[in-house]
Amino acid sequence: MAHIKNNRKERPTLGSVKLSARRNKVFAVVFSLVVLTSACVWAYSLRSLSAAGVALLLFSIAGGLFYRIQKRENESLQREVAEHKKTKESLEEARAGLEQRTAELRRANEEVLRINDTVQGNIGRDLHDGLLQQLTGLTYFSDTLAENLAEAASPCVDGAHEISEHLRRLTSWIRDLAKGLYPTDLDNIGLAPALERLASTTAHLFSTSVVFECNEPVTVSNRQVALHLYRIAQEAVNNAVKHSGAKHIHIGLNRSGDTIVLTVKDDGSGFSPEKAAAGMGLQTIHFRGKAIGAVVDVKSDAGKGTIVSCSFQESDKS
Amino acid sequence: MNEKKETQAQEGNRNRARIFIVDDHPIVRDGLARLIGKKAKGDLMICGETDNAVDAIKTVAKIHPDLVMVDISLRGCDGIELTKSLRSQHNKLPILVLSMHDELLYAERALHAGANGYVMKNESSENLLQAIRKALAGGVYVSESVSSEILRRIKREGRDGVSSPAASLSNRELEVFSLLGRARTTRQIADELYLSIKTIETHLSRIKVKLGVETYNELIVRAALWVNSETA
Repeated sequence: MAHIKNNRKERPTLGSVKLSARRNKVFAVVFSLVVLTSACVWAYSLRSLSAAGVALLLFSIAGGLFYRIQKRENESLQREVAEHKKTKESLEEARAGLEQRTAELRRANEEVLRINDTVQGNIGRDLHDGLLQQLTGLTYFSDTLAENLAEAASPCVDGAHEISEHLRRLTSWIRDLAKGLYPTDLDNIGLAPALERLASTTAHLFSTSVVFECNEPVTVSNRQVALHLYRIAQEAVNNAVKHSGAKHIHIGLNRSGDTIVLTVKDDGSGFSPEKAAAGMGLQTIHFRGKAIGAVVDVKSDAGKGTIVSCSFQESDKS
Repeated sequence: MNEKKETQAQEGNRNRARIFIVDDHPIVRDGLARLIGKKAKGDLMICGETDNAVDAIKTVAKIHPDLVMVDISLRGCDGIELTKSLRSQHNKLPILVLSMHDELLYAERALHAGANGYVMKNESSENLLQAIRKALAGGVYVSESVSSEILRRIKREGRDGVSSPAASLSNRELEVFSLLGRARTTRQIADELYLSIKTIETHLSRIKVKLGVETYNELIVRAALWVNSETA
């Protein structure tokens, strides 16, 4: 890449080479004409044939000389042109390669996100349809056991009730976990209510104030777009509660014209740009933004909290 | 002696409400059967169970249970669709929908499909039995977390000032509202009040405006909650 750049700087451009060739040609013709005219004028002033012969001789010498110069010039010009062509070709080749690599990288990123979403979805569904149901059954067993023990006036009855209580708590914890892994809400109730539930679940799980605000109804019908926006909010909220020690988190979903703006603000510790570059969570937020063609902006100052905003321009296909 | 015992047992069985369970997880069916068999052996009994909707429709038509408990997420056909089919075939059959979800939306869908109640699977066994008994008595049961979500929604939308049905509805509207809360369809309400379906629909839309309710589903849930609070 650097080598190609240097090449471009040292060599004159093809246009300027062509221009100088044309200039040389014009100069040669004008010079020959001047020589011829002055020879003719001189011969005429002397009224002598031999002078005319000398003038002709001078003219042919000058013409020959300029022909040779011209030829050499032409050759070097052709060489220049060929070299320029070659440079241009290799530049274009490099650019095409780069574009291909960028596209491949973007596809790979999207694929990683897709696989991640699929795997998370599968785990979430397995938790919901398998483990949670098993736990429900166990809770009923434990309730029955407590009843049996109570009938037998056993001192263990309290223990059985405690087991039931723990099982119920575990069930609701796993339900929240499954919901985080696979947001069934998105399919069933849409993005805005799903974000509202994300706010209330996070507030419940982490004992933090999480507020969701949506000034007018915002609906996103493209499921992929909705999922990425949801995941961006989820990641930003996660960062806020887990790493920044935020006391208040605000999730906003608003529309202005055909742009949907998702914002997640927190009053946590914030972070420096270097730290942000190293964090996987923020990278994922950027990847997701790119995947749906949204503009992601993360503003953070150490000690002043963080604002993550994502603007998505709705088109016909979304 | 033996015969007498048998007759007593039969009589006991006859007095107990027969419950049919539809859930595709054996451990849940087994757990429910044991729990009901133990905690409510005086008035409730399990008369059958299945893991799929097709079998459920066939068996319910054959054995005529007093109540059906349906899991909301059945493999192949979901519990809401099953509830609709059962309701269309058995007008008066109490149906309880069991679910893992605490979202209002699922409760709305279940009640709209014709269920007499919506019970969260991780509710206390007392609540579960209360829901069964309420549905058997012709009432409607909605989980506490669902009803609190409705209250949250009302509060958030600033509708508390207009939400007391008794204060804002006319007598006739209140009658329609309370029948709606007892899981009656529009046609049933019309039949019971000797009015046309059109009149009932007019009443319902007026009630919706008065209570600041946006959807029919939400209205059903509000009605069910109100009936619950009045009969509690």
